[in-house]
Amino acid sequence: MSEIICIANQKGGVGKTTTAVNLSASLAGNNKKVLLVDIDPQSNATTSLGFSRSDYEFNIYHTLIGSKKISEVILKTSIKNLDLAPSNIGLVGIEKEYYNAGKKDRELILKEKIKDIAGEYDYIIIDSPPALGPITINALSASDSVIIPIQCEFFALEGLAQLLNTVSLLKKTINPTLKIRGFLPTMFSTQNNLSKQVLSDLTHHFKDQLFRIKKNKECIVVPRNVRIAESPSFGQPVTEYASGSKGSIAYENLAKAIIVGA
Amino acid sequence: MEILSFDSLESTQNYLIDAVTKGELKPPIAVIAKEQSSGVGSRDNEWIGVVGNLFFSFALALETLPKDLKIESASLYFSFIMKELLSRYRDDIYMKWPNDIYIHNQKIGGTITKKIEKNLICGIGINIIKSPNSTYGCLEVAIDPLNILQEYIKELKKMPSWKQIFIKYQIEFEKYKNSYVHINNYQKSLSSAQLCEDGSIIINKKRMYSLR
Repeated sequence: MSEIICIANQKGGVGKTTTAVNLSASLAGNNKKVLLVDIDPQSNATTSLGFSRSDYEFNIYHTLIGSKKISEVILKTSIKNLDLAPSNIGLVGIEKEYYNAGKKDRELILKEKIKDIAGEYDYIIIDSPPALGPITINALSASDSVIIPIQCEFFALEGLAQLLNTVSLLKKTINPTLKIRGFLPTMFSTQNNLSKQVLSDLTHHFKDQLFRIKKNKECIVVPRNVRIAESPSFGQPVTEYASGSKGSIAYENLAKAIIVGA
Repeated sequence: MEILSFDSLESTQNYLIDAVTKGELKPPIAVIAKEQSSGVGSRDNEWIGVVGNLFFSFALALETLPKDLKIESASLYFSFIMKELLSRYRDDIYMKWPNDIYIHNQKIGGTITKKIEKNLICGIGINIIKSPNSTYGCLEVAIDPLNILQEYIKELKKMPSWKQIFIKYQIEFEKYKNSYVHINNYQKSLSSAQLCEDGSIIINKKRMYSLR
């Protein structure tokens, strides 16, 4: 059975898509079969893997409304072992469906659709939008765990309590097995005292929930790295675009930590 | 901020309130005592003063406080800054709503505040080396209380905004939401409480700023 991991944080620009794309690619590079589900209407994960709108007719929206099975929208990427369920701006229309009063189990739509292909992948990574709305609720309800990227900038922890509260509520109601896989500090700068303060705060609050390659080693942080910023414009994950870069190494380490269950 | 040190006082809080009211001392000023004989705790409870523990009060002019800090939120604000400071010594310290500092399930300290005209007088007591009885816990770290006060004053000088403190406090509140508090002598769980932006909670449809 697949391990389904949602990448979530309602703050925008913290590195959700970057993490979803590069973690997926790194896991695939470790001979794991991976499906990346782009459920963000901005469809940046889809673009980051080199797909433009004209490359596909159907996307995750069609799956969620029931007109296409998820297997019918999945695309093969240029990376071995990595498939993609793409998104499109039209996905915003799903919120209207969600608020349809007659809709039963509306939080579980994605979960039901993923069931069809769950056994075919080792990991299913879900890139969620920067909001705690119906789409993210669906993503969290479908997932075994959630990775929360935290940008090492001012007010990094803003909104985190709400997300934790949402996870807690979902655990009590519709997804009792949902757990926080870990927190991932992103855009970390060694030369920036604020970055270090944010990391210190995270370590204080969530010491056991930061990723490490080995126990008692330093936690995995994604550095502020120009190659990470450049790679989407080339339609590649940083692990392909600049495999020796610090950003690539960070995501490779994250993948290893995920695989060993750290 | 000047620190006035005493070997013994009945209560640093009462001493400073009295002195500021009479105009004998002007903020910013702090008062620390090596021991207290009649310390005042929250909800007018006694805070027993064992030598080696930390008891101090400080006075700040209201106009020097962060613009986004409401008076009702002041105890939480100052208490959280102390909790963050003490976390450098032990990482199992947390704050239980509204402003009590805990290790495991035992209270090791807390904060009281009082507005006197245009000033705020804040008192903090922390059990550092010994708790007065088995009900309370203690930090169990060998450190001079005066050093902690000096470090605390350094943190106060940064004067973080309420928002900066509250963002971190929200996470603390979420983490320890399954704890219980005594409200009007009834034990209540915070798990269903909703934390508001000013640090108050809504529990059973009632808004509360303290445990009174």
